[in-house]
Order: sequence, then structure tokens, then C-alpha cells
Amino acid sequence: MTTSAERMVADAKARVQTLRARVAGHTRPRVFIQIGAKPLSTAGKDSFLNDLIDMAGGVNIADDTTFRVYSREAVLAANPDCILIVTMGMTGPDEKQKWGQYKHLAAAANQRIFMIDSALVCSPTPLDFADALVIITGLLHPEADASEGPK
Amino acid sequence: MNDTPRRRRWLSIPILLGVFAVILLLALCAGSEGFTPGRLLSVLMNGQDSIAHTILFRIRLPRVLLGIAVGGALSLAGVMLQGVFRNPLVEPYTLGISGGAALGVCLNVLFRLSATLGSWTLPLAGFLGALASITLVSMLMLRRRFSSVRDLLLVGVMISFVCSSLVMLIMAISRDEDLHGIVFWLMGSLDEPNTFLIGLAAAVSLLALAVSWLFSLNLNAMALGEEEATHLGVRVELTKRVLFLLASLATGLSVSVAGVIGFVGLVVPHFMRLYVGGDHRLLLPASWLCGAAFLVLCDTLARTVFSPVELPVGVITGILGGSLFVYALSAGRTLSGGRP
Repeated sequence: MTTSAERMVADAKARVQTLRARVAGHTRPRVFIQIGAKPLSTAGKDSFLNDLIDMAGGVNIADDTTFRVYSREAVLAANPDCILIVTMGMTGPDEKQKWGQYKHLAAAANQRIFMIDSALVCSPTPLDFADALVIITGLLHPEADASEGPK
Repeated sequence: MNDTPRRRRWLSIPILLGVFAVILLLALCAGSEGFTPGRLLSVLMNGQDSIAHTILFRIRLPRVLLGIAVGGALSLAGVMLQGVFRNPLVEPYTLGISGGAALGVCLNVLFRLSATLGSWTLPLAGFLGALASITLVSMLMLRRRFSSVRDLLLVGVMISFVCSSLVMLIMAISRDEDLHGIVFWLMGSLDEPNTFLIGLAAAVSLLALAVSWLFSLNLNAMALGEEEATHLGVRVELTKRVLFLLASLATGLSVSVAGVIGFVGLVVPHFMRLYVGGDHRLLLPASWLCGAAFLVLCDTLARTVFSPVELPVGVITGILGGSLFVYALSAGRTLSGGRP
């Protein structure tokens, strides 16, 4: 007999598997995820935000560091395809506009700077994790979503 | 004073300018995307459509300009205050100015003003906080309740203590995500993409240099003592008030844009007094140049040593400035020798 909790977890796991399969084989966009404005901070390796990006079929440009503080210049030098701004204690639109100023940045040129609600990605339960993965996969791989539709 | 040391002292400005130019070149070349001077030139000439151009003009150059403005302003503030109060320990921070600014910024974060109204409220809150402690200190000074420099210093230090205790209280009750921002603001950073704030800081820094230089002869006379200066025809009270307000405004603005960057205002003036002597006509511009170069150098180290991680620049200025100064003192020079 399975309990309702086990069913929910199994369901979430299945959703994660489906999403991972959907983006497998697609080009993995390079992503910068911003979790703080002053100082500019990011989520490096060994963080679940890094796992989210990885499972959503992206590559975190900061996956070689465990420090949170990251240099703005290093972001420009890495030239990510996509920038995700987690609106945590800062004004997302402000930050989005700041990145948008750098016209030669691939993420700015292709208008791929997105804001994510911190409530969703910063204290994940197994279900939230799957929800967050749906959203991030959609942002990183609009082509996969368009062909198969979000779950 | 005979002619030779005087000529050597005036030569120190071109020497400082040379050092300043080398540090600027280094600051523009070094970074997570390192340029050789040749590459720098080619990016400057014909790299308009590249990431390198964006990095150079939108990130490094604004940072360098902000470093020059803030470093220059803090050093000048130190020279002015030390000159006016004739006390080697007076600097922008011992008068409680940075404490007030820090408290302002923490209150802003606590009430989430920057999150709801925009990040422009952060420097504003810092400036209002600095202004509040300046007003308090200057009211006490102007009322002559605290006629001696010692009393004034003690009041400044007490204001700093009260402010830093309140800052710690706010940190104790603030949210986890805000805490990180407060801690890093307290350690200072030149990462400020807002060009208006950079322009404002640069304008105030240059204004402070120009105005304080007009008072350099007054400061030289006041080095003899206030009474002697009065007999020489110097308007001592006016000089004190103007320079105190000027130093406070320069510090308040610097702190509110770049956070708490310690040691520049204390160490650079002493260093320059050792090397160029106590003549304020020379000491003021020399300190401005040296402070600007020192802060730009520290910021270059802060952003390159552990790249892509950025260290807080206030930590570097403290370590580098403090140890260099102790070394200079122990290498045989005495402060009193260079005192005005």
C-alpha cells in the first residue's frame, strides 16, 4: 500500500524524469543565476540551484566556485546565454534593466534575462522542486516547451 | 627650509602622477578578462562591438573613476580634519560619520526600502545617516560645548560606538538574505553600475580638492596654533566650519556610494606628510592623488586575487594600508618630523 506522501514523491520524481528526458540532446545554454544584488551573488556548485539549472538542461557559469559573491566582470567575460534573477530581497526589474544595458551580452541581445520568484526556488520541497524545474526548463529551452507543451 | 628639499618636494607631484598613471593602466588591464596594454589599445581604438569593449567601458572604467573619486575624497577629508583639529587621529571615521551612514543603510535594509522603492534609496539612506551624525557633531562643535579637540574626538568615537551597536542589533534581528548585503556593505565595494552616482561622487571629490586648496594657506597658519593663526589674520572659525562641513559631505557621499572603506582617510594623509611635508598647498593635491591611486590599486587586488570571487575592498585597504604604514613608521621616519 502506498501512502499519499509516497505517491506525491513518486509523481514529482516522474515529472523530473520527463523534463530531463525532454531536454536531453538539446544544446545546453550557459546560465548565470543571480541571487543577490549588492554584492552581486550567485549559487555555485553544491547548491540546489545549481542542480536545478543542470537538470533543466543548462550549464551554470559559476559551477567552478562555492563562493556566493561573484564579479560582474566575470559574468560579462563568460557571456552567458541566459540570466536568471531570483528576486530575493532586491528589486528584480532594477537588476534586469542593469543587465539589459550591456548590449553585447548574449543574454541581453537575445532578451533572455528572466526573473524567478524566490518563494519557489529558495526553500524547495520535493513538489516545489519539480514546479521550479518546469519553470526553469521552460525558460532555458523554449524550443522544447513549444514542441511538447509544459506539463 | 633650504631650496633643495623644497624642489624635491614639488617634484613629488609629477612622481605621484606617474605612479597614478601606472596604477590606472594596471587597473584597466587586470581582471577576469586580462588585457595586455597592446590589446587594451586595440580595444580602445576599434573594439566597439565586443564584450571586451563593454567590460572596459561599462565595468572597469566606472569602477576606476569611482575609486579615484572616493579615494581622493576620503584622503582629502583626512587632511582637512587633521589640519583643522591639529590631531593625527582625527579622520572621517573617528568623527562618527561612517557610523551614521552604516546605520542609515541598515535601517533601509531593515524596512526593505531598497527592495520596494528601488536600489537608489540605499545611498540616500547612507547619506542621510552620515548627515545626521555630522549635524549632531557639528552642532556640538559650533555651540562650543566641546571646545577641545579631545572632547570632539570622544564624542565622535561614542557616536560611532552607538551606531555600530545599533547596526549589530539590526543585524541580529534581520533576515538571512538581508544579512549578507549588510555585512558586505559594511566592508565596502566599488561595484556601482549607476553612472549618476559615480558622476556625483567625482564632482564632489574635485570640488572638495578645489575648495580645500583655497584654504591651504589658512591651514598652514593654523598649524602654528589657532591663536598665532588669528594674529596672522586668518579667520580661524570660518576655516574650521567650512572645512569641517566640506570633509563631512565628501565622506558622507563617499560612504553612501561605496560603503565603509576604512584607513584611506587616516593613513594616506600621514603617509603624504612623511613624503611631501606639512605644506598644505602640496599636501592636499598629493593626498588626493595618493588616496585615489591607493584605492584603485586596492580595488584591482580585490577583484583579481580570487577572481571570479570579489573581495570587499575595505578589507584590502585595511590590511595593506595598516601594514604599509607601520612599516613606514618603523623604517625610521617619525610622524612629528613631517608634522606641519
